[in-house]
Amino acid sequence: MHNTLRMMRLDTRSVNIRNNVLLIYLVTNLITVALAFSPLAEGAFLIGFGGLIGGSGACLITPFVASAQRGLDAFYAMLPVRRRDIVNGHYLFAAVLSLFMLMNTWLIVILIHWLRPTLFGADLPILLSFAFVGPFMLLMMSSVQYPILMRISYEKAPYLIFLPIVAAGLVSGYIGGSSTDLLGRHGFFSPRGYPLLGLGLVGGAGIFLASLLLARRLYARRDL
Amino acid sequence: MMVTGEEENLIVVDGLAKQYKEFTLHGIHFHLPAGYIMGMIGPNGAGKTTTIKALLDMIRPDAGHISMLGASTANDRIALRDSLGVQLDTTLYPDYWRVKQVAKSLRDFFPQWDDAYFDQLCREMDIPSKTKYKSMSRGTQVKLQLAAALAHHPRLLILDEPTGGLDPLARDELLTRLQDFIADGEHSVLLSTHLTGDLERIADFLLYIRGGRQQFFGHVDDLLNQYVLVKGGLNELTPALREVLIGLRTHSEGFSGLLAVDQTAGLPNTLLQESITLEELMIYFGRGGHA
Repeated sequence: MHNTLRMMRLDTRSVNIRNNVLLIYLVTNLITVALAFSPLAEGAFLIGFGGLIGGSGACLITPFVASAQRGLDAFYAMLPVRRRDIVNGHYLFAAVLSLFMLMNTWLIVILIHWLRPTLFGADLPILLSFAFVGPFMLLMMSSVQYPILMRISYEKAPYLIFLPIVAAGLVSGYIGGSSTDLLGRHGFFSPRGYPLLGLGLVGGAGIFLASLLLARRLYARRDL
Repeated sequence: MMVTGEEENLIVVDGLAKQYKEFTLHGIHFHLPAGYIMGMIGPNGAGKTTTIKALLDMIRPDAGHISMLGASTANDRIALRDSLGVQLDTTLYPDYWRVKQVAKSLRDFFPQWDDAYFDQLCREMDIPSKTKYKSMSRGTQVKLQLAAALAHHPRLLILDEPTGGLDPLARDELLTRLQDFIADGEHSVLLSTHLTGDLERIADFLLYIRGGRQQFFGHVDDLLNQYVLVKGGLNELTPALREVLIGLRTHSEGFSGLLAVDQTAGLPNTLLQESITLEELMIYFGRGGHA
């Protein structure tokens, strides 16, 4: 476990990701809050949440972009860590980033509600519940991308890697747009929503775990 | 230095083979005892880097056995990375890292990491602390890798083209440092380089690879003593001599070529026979012939 944590820290250091992530989130948060006061449309702040998903998606693949540019796989090979620890570190990085995104979305929703209580009104629960969708889609996106990256590296399949980002955006947008129709005003926090939430979490965890095991297997066999 | 039968081998490679689509490494055998420097030479694409990658478990060999620091499996070797210092012929660290980030990141992984020694090495090698890795010259990048490789007090150093980007003074200092590194008889260095002059100065053993095949492994002097450089006039270049000369070169004044010492008996006295350097050996073999 120690090596997994070390590798996750190295992921964040390898691309100066902490500053990038903080900057992306800060700018997007400010835009989202500003949009909440937009005179154009009441739902304009949702654009900001879309930006958060896109920004987080870009952050998730940056360790691999850096790896392709600078040959970091060779660097990893010099360290006293097994290949499985390297893969575990990447997945932990994705999980932590997604958790960070969830907390950030909740923070922004609560902040906007505090600044302008009339905007969400009774829709606050559904907004809080659908904060899960972005991080969830990011983790699903990582589950598709990471095994590909582990097997053939970013430089050999850059376009293939971006497809899951597009798919995650589309699915997130669809679920966000039709959420009230599907689950009512309380979103996942409702009798109709709980089974879907549970199914999503269990299914998502299963897919994430299967992806991790596949990626470990693929990276173990790869010539660096 | 002479090898005795009781010395500990820090590297043992036996029958290492790896096949790619356009290149095959065939059955490499060598060993490196503690207290010695081994040089690995060969033209570009000979298989030197493939051999190093196999030692570092970056590739999976198709055949052969590797033991490093006494560890025979990949997982065991990885567990012993703290005793291994590596410098590779690639840009290794992320672009924006400075000296501080290198230390901060590696300190996490190597229990024996020595900050004071790393700082000392950086000062001695004139590595600028504020410059980003991508902005460093190739030579400085190599120096930073070397400082990082030494800073956790490894027993074994594996260096891939460490002298290529260095100026003569820095190269001389590095070679002296490597000699000091092995002086206690407990440490060893495996060094791959094109600069054969460096190897003649410090290497005890030599592995010569060409076209993916091992041509020679043994003491440097043994290799150099196996061949002589033969020179003479064109009228002395008989068909029989042409047949056995390695890397034959003819010009308006005459010819030159390598000849195995055991084939020199019966050569006319008018032919000039000179001892060879490693560089001449590489050039003549590179031009054509066999070892």
